[in-house]
Amino acid sequence: MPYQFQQTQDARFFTLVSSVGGNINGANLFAAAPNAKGAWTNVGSPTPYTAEMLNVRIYQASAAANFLVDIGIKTTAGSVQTLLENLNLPSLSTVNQGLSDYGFPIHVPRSSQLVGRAQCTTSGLNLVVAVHAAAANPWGIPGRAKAYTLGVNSANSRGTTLDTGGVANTKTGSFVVIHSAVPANLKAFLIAIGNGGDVSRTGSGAGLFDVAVGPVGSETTILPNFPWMFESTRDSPSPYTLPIMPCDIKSGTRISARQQCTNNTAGDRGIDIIIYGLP
Amino acid sequence: MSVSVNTSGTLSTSTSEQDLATITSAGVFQAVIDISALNFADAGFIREYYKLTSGGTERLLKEYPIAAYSADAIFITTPRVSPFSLRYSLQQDLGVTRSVPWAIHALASTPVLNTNNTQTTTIGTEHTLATLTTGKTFQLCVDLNPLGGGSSPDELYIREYIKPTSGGTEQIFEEYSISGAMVEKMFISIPRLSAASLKYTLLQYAGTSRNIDWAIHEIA
Repeated sequence: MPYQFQQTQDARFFTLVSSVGGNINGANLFAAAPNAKGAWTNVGSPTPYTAEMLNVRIYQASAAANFLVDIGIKTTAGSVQTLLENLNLPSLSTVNQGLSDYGFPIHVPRSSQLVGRAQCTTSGLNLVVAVHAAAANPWGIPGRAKAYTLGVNSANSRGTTLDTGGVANTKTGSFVVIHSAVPANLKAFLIAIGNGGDVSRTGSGAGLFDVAVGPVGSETTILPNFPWMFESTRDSPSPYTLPIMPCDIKSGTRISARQQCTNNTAGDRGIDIIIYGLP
Repeated sequence: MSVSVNTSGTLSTSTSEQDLATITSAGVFQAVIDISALNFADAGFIREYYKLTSGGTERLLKEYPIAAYSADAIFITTPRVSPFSLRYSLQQDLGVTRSVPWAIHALASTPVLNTNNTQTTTIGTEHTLATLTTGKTFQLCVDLNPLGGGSSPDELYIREYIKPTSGGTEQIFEEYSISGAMVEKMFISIPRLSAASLKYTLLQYAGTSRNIDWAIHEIA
């Protein structure tokens, strides 16, 4: 594991899935009781070589429900080391289907058995997880050991809610804390956007949200005005995930967010977010 | 400093792993491998193995998967500072076996062992491995073989601190995060130029206490 820039030439991809019905090949991960994780389930065969990048796609087409998915490595003894925790797939009302797409520079040793598990707001639903892994990543860096999940609310399988308040096109005065003290030095992050619990939006709209670091009243915005939008047919926000972005956040730092929206109808104007930080 | 060919040859590839070269002289090396003969369905691995001390156990340092649909017809490994032992191998796991010319390039330099030891970790304690105050280029090597995975994996930070000048204030400038059992078991830091003071530390913050071998190599 040399911590030097890696060649990205000759990168090889492998797909860790098993074939199931529908249009997507993947592994069924049963979500057990509401808002409780199901059992770990194998995702494909053991990795044929060491990976420095994981792309995880989560798909469901059965019902309006929020999902959170974990990805880990299972030892031969059966215990699991979690690599990615609480990857979000937000609920939808009308179409009842959607796909969240995550890409992380994560290190997975050769011959690892990847496993997944999930929870959702409705018991007994299935979802599909497809993992593509690559021997290199576009940044030429070693894959990180794991991601830290910030701002998740496991009780409702969502993230931290950002409500704009009743005034359109105006950021609320205060930032909402996503995590009071990040647990490690973070060099990159990825954000997932959920629908704030509203699966019956009455109109359309667009929003802008900020992510900031620093104590209450002294927040410094590190990601300004990231756009999202919604409409009343699919109800869900778009995009579900933001691309991974670099940062340099010291362990123990408070991280927070706020947003504005063109639509000031309660429910319609809200989203929830989860931040996945990489050391 | 001059660069020359240390050794070279042509390998008839196999589905078995075959050595290109084992270099036990001190130096800075890189492998240059001509993979232009590989066709679309051909793929394989180039591997590096390393010893952190003369009597240390050889560990896998890096495994490079290669595929012949690449735009690059030559594969060059990352240059390695190696005072003791560096081994390169090639294995073709897919396609038709080929003849692959290769060479090991060497930089005229003689890295040596500065210091080494075994650190027994205390969970939550940051252990100073060494503080180096002579003006040289250094790299830290850590044998990650003892680390375990599972639901309570061994997790640690390796940190680097530096002083801009001898009278300056020591500050952290890099933190490497490592978690669980590794296949590539040898950690090597980026070589650092240090004119005043360079410090390496190891902090295991989760898992089971381990005895971890480490070494610091220097280039004069």
